[in-house]
Amino acid sequence: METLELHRRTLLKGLAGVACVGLWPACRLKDRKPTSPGWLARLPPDRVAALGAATEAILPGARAAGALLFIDYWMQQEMVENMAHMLDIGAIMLNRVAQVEHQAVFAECSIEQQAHVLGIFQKNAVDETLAKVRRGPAKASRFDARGFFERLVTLTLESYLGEPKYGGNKDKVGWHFIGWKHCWWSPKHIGTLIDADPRLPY
Amino acid sequence: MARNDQVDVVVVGSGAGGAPVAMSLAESGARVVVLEKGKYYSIRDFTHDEIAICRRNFFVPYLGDDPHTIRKNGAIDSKPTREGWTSQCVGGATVHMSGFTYRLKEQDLRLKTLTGGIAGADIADWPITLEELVPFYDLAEAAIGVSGIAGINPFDAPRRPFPLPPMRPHPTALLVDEAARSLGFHPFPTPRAIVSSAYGTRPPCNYCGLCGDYGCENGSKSSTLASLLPRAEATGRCEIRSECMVSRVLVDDTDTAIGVEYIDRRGELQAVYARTVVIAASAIESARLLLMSADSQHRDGIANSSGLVGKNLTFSSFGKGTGIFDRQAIVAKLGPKNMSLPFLLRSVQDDYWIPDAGLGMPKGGTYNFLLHHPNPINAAVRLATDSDWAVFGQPLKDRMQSYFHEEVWVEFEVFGEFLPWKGCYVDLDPVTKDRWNLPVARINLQNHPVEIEVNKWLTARGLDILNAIKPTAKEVKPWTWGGTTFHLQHGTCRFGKDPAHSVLDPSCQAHDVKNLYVTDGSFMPTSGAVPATPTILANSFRVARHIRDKLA
Ligand SMILES: Cc1cc2nc3c(=O)[nH]c(=O)nc-3n(C[C@H](O)[C@H](O)[C@H](O)COP(=O)(O)OP(=O)(O)OC[C@H]3O[C@@H](n4cnc5c(N)ncnc54)[C@H](O)[C@@H]3O)c2cc1C
Repeated sequence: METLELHRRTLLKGLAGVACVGLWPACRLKDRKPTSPGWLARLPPDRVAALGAATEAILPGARAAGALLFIDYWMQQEMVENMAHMLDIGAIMLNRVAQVEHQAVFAECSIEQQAHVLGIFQKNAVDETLAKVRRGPAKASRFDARGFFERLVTLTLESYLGEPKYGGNKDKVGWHFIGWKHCWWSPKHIGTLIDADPRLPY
Repeated sequence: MARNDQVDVVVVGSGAGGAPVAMSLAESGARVVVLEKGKYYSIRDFTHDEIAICRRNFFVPYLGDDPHTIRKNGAIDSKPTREGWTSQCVGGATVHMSGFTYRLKEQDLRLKTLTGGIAGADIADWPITLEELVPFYDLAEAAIGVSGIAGINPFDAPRRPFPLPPMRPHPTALLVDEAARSLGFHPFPTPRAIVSSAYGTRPPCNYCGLCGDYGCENGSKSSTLASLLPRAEATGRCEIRSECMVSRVLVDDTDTAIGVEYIDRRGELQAVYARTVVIAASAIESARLLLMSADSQHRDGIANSSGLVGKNLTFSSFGKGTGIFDRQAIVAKLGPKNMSLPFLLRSVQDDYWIPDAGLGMPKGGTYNFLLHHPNPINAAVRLATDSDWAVFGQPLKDRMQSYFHEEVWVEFEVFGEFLPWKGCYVDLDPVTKDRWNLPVARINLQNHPVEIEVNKWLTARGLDILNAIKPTAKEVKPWTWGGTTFHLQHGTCRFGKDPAHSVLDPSCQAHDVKNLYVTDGSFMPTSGAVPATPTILANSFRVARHIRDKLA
């Protein structure tokens, strides 16, 4: 009960605060409901909030469209341990870099500050940034900041534009945004839209 | 049929190389078993779920337990990759191919003679003529259903009319025609392995646009799953066993193939014995299977006295460019009609043979003009990657707004000759094993420098066409050149007359092992400058004729 409640609160916090290149290297799809408490329930609330805020900073509207539910769903599939670990560490790093640069956790930074922090990840400059508050030269950590950023952008875009059954794209908001009226959910309808065009006999 | 059974023919793989043999021989009275590693999907499984179908592991195996490995540009260590998988399902990669359907030309089959050789490359003439292939192209096109119009492309050999009229193009095809002609090119409608009108029991295409990377939920794409395999099964003499991983070809003391061993879906080892064994597991996987079948008599794998199994791996040399056009400007010029059509359907082959270009090889390639793939996630990720991921937040959303509502992306792909040479081959990875504990295929990839130069040249010419389109593009940019199309693969068991320089004889039977045939793209000693699926299909029909006569 407590776990469930924690999960709900954690998730809501993430959702209220603010909302992968390519292909997945390895993941086996299980038919799990996107809302079952899973991976995110096991993360401390500040990390969930950071991830939620980051998805929103990557694509405005993504969090309300269910980006965290989407991520939660996918992190419950088989064989994604490395990716889940990367997101977890990434959330910690988002907060650390935000503290160094803006003296606040990531979710509490302004939109501009969040963009600045994400830019540090995009440029793979996290180690140098953290070195500012450490003595001595920048130490190369094993954390792949750029990889984390790319993965999070990809997951966010997938959540916004993918099948709603995975927890994102709430009310098909992403599909409405891009104007897919036909092909995406009603393929049978398409053929009727074609007129013969005498200018193009072939 | 019981397991451990004896049949006339066992076929490994059910895609472009396997299905024609299976169908032809079953129809001519042989008892056939097809062993297919992947699942047996039905059209109900094919949805428009971009994530499940295109971005996870619907068609290709999990990297975690069934990878290829790759070593690029002479690297010592290999790393796991999904590259080089064509597909894994009944119907093979024909299920999720795009279906651009070009034939080879005489120059493709005679490259060695016509060039006198290319430094560093191990090209060889084909031991058959184009004339010998043409009836089987006709047969293959009719059997699967191909839409197109003959007589427009001046660089095509004379041919029969296509079985089906061409597909309807997006109006932008007019602009590509106009631009290409203004530069002296001869654009023609791209033939597609999609049925443009009802064909047998299959309905015409509904123009949903999701062909490449997807299975067709309409049954209109001419995969072997939709066309040949139902015919094979309808004979009552062909059994398709899905989720069966063939692990070894069985050869007796007289060097005759007698069957195969496979691991069934429950993980149990089984065997099928047959008078003829046909391997069509894709060029990479077929080579792997022959190499994995090594025993004390054949230490380097079977059918490998030439040492050429796995060597001369070729893909298709690849380039791509994009023109970003203002949708309103196009509508202002052409009107709004048919702007939601998904296919552009224009190709150009004027640069197929370019002896005067001074590029170290007179062989050019094919330009295939198309609209950007309609997958929204893929497009959005590309918008992010185009800027080296530096555009995110509101700027990314604004960029998506423009892409989806205000722009038309016209693209071209270049398919060029991928030269066989010592830099590109497949062997068994000495370390990495798959989930059955079998050594995985290791792709050793290095592109021949001449092929990169040619591809760069072709890509620049493609960009010229995009630049000539009126209304002028907002931006025209190369996307890549000198690249590799991994799902177009050939060459690993090349055919030829001389057993010292080829693995298969001209009928695609192994020189060393009687009754063992290979019918996927492995047989091709040169890649040609078009995607090869129609050639693989046609050759498989040709080999089937040979096996049929022999069995009779
Ligand atoms: C996305 C995509 C788009 C494409 N578009 C085009 C196009 O527009 N035009 C074109 O000409 N070509 C296209 N192709 C390429 C085309 O699909 C291939 O050329 C063709 O399918 C190759 O035929 P094949 O028989 O060699 O392999 P496949 O058709 O892939 O069949 C091989 C089969 O063997 C099975 N197999 C492998 N190993 C084993 C084993 N050990 N035991 C049992 N079964 C095994 C596999 O699961 C697979 O089903 C495309 C491919 C892809 C992936």
